[in-house]
Amino acid sequence: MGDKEQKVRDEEQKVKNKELFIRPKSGLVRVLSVHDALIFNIVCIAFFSGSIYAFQMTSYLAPGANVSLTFLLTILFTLPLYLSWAMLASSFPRSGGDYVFTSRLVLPSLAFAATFSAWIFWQLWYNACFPIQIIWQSISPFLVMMGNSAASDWVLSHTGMLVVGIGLLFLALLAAIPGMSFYAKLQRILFAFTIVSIILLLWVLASTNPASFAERFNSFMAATTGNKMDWYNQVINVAKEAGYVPAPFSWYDTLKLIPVAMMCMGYGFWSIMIMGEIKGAKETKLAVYSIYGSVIIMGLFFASLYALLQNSGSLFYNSLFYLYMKGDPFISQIPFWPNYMFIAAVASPNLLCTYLIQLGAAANVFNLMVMMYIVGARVMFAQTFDRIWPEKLSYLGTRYISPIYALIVYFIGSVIWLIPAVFYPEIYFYFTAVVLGVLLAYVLTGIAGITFPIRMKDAYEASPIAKYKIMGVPLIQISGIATLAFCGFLLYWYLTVPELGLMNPISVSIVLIVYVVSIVYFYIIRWYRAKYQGINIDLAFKNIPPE
Amino acid sequence: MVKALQKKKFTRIFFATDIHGSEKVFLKFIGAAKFYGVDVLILGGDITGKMVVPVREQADGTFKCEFMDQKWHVKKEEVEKLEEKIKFVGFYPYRTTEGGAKKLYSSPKEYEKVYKRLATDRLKRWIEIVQERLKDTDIKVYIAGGNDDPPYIADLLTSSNLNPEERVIYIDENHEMVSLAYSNITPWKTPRECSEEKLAKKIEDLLTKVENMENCIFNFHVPPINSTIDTAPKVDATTMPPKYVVERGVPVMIGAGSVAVREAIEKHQPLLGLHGHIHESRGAIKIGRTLCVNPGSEYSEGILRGVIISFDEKGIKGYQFTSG
Repeated sequence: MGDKEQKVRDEEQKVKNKELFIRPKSGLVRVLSVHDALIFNIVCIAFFSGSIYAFQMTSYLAPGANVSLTFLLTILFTLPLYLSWAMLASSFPRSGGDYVFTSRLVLPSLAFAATFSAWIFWQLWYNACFPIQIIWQSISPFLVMMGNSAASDWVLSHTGMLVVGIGLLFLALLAAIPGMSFYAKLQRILFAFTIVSIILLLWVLASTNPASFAERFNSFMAATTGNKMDWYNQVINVAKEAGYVPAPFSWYDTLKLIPVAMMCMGYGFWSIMIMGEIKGAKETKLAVYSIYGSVIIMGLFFASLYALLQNSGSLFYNSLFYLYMKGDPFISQIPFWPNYMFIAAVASPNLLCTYLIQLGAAANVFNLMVMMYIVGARVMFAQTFDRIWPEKLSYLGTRYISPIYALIVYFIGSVIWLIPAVFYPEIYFYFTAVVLGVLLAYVLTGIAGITFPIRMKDAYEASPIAKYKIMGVPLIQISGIATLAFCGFLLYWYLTVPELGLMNPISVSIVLIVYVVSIVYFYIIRWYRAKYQGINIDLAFKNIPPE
Repeated sequence: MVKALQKKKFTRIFFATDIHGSEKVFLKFIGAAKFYGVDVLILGGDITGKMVVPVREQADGTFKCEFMDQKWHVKKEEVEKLEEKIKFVGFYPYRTTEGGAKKLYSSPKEYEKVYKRLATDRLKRWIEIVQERLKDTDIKVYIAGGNDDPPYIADLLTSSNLNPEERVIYIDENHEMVSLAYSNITPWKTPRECSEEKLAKKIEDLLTKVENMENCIFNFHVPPINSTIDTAPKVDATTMPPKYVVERGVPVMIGAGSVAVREAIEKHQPLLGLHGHIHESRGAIKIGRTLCVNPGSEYSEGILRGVIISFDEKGIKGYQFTSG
């Protein structure tokens, strides 16, 4: 190549370089990779949290269900819902989650009420329950296995649960304060422990069989209770007397469990709450990968887990869960909360393996607690930007660039919920309809998908999803309609199966009161801002026309 | 009713910044006056586009170009639509031949000449739009430059009486505004950047003209340092192009604002600071009694990010970020 040509090439490269370093300046800077976002969503689905109920409830609620098939069907049925989230989030790639797009595409007051209820109010309740879960599931069994029953008794006492609970909530707050750069590193560490736990869990269950499991269970119970009877078969016999009858496979029962599976599988989209901090957030395919990818991975995991659980003896674990769900007095003799973690701990060949499984479980739940802070604070942050909450909640600390006050409010809210969770556990009865407090957010997402190409035509056509159409119909609208159909499917089960908890009038009333109070608050603040501050908060939700 | 309540008592300004040549966003900015019901429109700096995109005519009558990492090859009847896309992200389409494009790349002088012509043409058109659309209204419009805008841009704005830079203007009977386009040193060697010492001198010279500091508005393009509205990824300027500094897989974030601006705000405590420069740091913060805002920018997506601030003689009553 001659000198002149080289000079031309050099100048061309300079101009291209100029464009290259222009682009990073013109967009939002994002800290998390798309793989971090995938992990984020996997953690949200929560290995050892909501999934437990799908396994526990089977023999009592849906004895003919094939739980593996339930989870596989859930992967399929949730596709429209997750597609709606992924597509809308990639079109509105900023932090604050579905509040950002449902407030613009549906109705601001309703969007505020739905997201406040779903992602702040009721998540504060769950966040208060997570420390209790860590205590029951990891701390107490660990202390017992270390031979310190007295310490275990203390952590399980009201005082112990309150103190340790506040301690864990505070620790999670400290982990959330330094912001997403720190969280990205923390998540990778905690997830590494969780992965080890998962692998060991599956291996332990795969390595056992009913006979050897029975022997281990009996040894375990003999060691903890001092009674050397055949506990394994006793569980089966007691359940039989209490009314448990194994049932043949039933599609009805299998489908009936989908709403229960959604208690975990319905949360794998939470990366949309931090969308402004994820690289490649505007790429729809990457959004689908990180969001729907979590559902596929976790659905397959839970399906496999259930299949492997058979190795402990399906009659045994179904009987155990049946007695637990029925509240049979016999179950009080089992020293731990019966779930698949407990079964794996019993089947485990050694203490180290058991510790690692429990450590990973605790790591996952703690990770989820930190995540709850981050998500809740970002929803509050987005709502504050729209002037709905006091300005202080949008304050970003100068040291960590993190919404400090929003996080502190979240901590205080979680502690407030912890008190009744510890001292008045009967309060759980009043929250059985909480699913209704979350369902509206899903419904509004479906509606937003339908209205997007209509209400914000310019923004839709400029969005990355405009090119996705089926027979000329925007895919987001098809997905939105299918999302509403899926919400209808969920509602059908909740209305026809009393055990799912929606038929509790007190609980339903509480949920509705939260919605109504939120909407009233919205209109009061709207009036106040207009009258005393000259701010029309409606303007935050309107799309300004270019001409 | 809401609008009536607002109109009675407050002066309302709409501030946006860093639109980098995006015509779509500029049109939304002009439309914001009526849409948001404000009295004053203020466009902060960095109003010019970042680069020229040669749209090269081929022998067969088709056209080729490359921008935003994509290659385009369109027919003659589609070239105007392509040029609209280029304008949408704020760049300047330049219809030429392959030879013309080579000349442009090979000669920085030629490039600057073409850039200047296209940038001033677009700005002249914008000025005409302002004069046409707002001529029968009481809405005041101010368009300031930023560090990315060459001095000839400021001259053009001054000649059309839209430029508030380096003078004191009254946006209402109680509130003065001073504006400054210059920034502290950046990794990108922009036309209007200088050392912190020079910046401090420019600020102090400007502020000697202010009568009532308590009600003054600082329209300074660069935000105060370490204020959270200046947070940007750290850049290694020794490489070309400059690269993000990454530690353990995560970009290092720093305060990229100005020490001089921060010290001026801390010392003089004006009513309000309007800032831009760092697109990703939308937010508001109080430094003492001074509310400092940065509405951020998403011009390349065609989104007008702005902030409405309402105040009266007693002070700021409220503010609200918008995203249109």
